[in-house]
Amino acid sequence: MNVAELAVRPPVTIQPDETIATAARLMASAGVGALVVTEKDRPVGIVTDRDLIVRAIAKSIPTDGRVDSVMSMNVIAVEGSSDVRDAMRAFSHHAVRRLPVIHEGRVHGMLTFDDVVVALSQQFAEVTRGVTAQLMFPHGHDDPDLPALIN
Amino acid sequence: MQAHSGDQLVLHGTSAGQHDRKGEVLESRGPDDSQPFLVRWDEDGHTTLIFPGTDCIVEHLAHSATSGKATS
Repeated sequence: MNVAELAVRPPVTIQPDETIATAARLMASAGVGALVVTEKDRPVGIVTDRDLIVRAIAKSIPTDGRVDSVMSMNVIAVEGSSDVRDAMRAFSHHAVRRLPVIHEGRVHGMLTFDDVVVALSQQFAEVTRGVTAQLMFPHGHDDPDLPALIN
Repeated sequence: MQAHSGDQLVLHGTSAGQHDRKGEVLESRGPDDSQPFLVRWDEDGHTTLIFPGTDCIVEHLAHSATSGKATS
């Protein structure tokens, strides 16, 4: 399974010179927990709701401060053609929960850890359906007709 | 920042308990060998793209025999 087969959300982006308050409002209106910070369409960072709490509010950074002062640099990303297993290892290895999906050098979407978990759990449910049936109805087709034997 | 196939990329840990991460640059996807870079990470061999920040270092290993370690 590749990344493009999963539900990739459209990205929500912000410019690095926007304010922390603007970032918070954008997260609220878009219903997301992370924004890709872009400059000339190129990702330069990611800012999460946790960044706003830990790096801004907890350190009394004013809300009119620049968003790039609290973002994380070194954007780890994947391509739509990447294998989901690479995305899973990236989540683990880099301790991130979101990966921008890149298409032709631009941010095309956002893959979240939750997206992968949901997709894999659905696949797992399909695989285990047969086993579940056997557990619920053990040997349903193999049992002899007991009354017939007694008689 | 530029990198070539075979260069090593070093991503320094930025918080307590976070160790440096190293990987081999497989490909530069931007114009003139610029970012993003396709990197195979040493720890478990997975590959990702990375748009490196200013705290990221590229070691030009393929050229180190003549020019020594170079950073960008």
